[in-house]
Amino acid sequence: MANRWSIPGRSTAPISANSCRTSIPARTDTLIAACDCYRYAFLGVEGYHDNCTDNLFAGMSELGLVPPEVPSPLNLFMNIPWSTDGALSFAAPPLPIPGGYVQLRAEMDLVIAFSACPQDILPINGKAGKPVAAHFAIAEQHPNVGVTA
Amino acid sequence: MTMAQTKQDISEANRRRYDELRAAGQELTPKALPEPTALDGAPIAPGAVISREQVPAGWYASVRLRRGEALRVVDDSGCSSVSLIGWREEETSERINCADTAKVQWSAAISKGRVLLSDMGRVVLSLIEDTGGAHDLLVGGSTPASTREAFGASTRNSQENFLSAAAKIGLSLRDIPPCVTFFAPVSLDGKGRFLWNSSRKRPGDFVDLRAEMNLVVVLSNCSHPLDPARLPTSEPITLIRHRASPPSKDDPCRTTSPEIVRAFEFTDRLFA
Repeated sequence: MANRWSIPGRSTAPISANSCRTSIPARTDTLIAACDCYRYAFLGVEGYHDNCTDNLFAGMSELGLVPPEVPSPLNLFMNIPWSTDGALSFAAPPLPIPGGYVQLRAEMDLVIAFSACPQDILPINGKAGKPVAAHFAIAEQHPNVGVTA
Repeated sequence: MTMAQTKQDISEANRRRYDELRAAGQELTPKALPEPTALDGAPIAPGAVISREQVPAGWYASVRLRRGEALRVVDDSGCSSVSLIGWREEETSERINCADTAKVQWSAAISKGRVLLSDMGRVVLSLIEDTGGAHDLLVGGSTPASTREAFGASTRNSQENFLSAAAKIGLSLRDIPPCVTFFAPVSLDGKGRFLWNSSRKRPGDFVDLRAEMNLVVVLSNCSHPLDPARLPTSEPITLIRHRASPPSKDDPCRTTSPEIVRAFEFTDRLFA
């Protein structure tokens, strides 16, 4: 459907395994836009603050690519509760699952950028407001590699 | 002082400032959203009408709006859904952004009193009148694939309508943002599945969208992909471009939250 298409009618990278060592499914958000300098200005930041939009542009630019925009990203491990009246919240902390992972299978040749969320004002990275590192690995094509759940 | 300490200092200062701003914001009485407009409410004075047109089922219209003008979109039959995208006229890289609209207002439900934001932290359109309050920010409009699934054959659809409208002003696929769809009562259940609430559609439902910057908007009168009626929309919609009253100091759309007040400050600077 239109709000998620890239090339009409194709999905780019379906989640082929969404699992973790504790076998609790990791939360992934599909609704919230990446923060940008405008978002930090709304939050009262004066001057520059690192943000996912700029990080994603920077990641692409390291490969010599200049995308026309940063589309609303897939937010891995981000917990955005939804209520039936449509209200969203950031109040809940992320569900911490140390070692939790998501495995994505590329269904076409892709360039993917990751940004470890630098948000330290709102509690989306936990109440301590301390962004943490995340890691990724590119696996050989093997349908079940690493899947435990 | 190490770099890490400096970064932490900046982070803590930002946080203190945010907490102060939030506390200041919370001292204000939280503003409830206004009641929906009655179906026979908010008549437009004849002298305020700039233009009026009907958009046949399956077709689209491009409308240029000056800041302060409003567009009334009327679902005359109660069985249409209208998908909308829009760009700032002077700089089309600035455009409507559904994800920021939901994020900044803490809600994916838009209704009277809410605004549609751009990708540059400014307000594009305000919902100054709205009878139904049942619209879709999440799913998007119809596509060739969704119409094949619904009707067994590819029919006119919003995605191709947007491409045609964009091409006429020199824009292309990459200029087309996710759309908002009016008169599309989509909600979610506890498992994240989409629901369609047919009972929230009535003949004559309308919205008034006030332009907060000079705009080109495109409206596509195509069935929403989740509409279970599975009928190619057979009815036209009505668009009425009119001069809105200038917003008062306590205009509901401009004052819902500190973040929205700031979004209007950033918007007003364009015209200062």
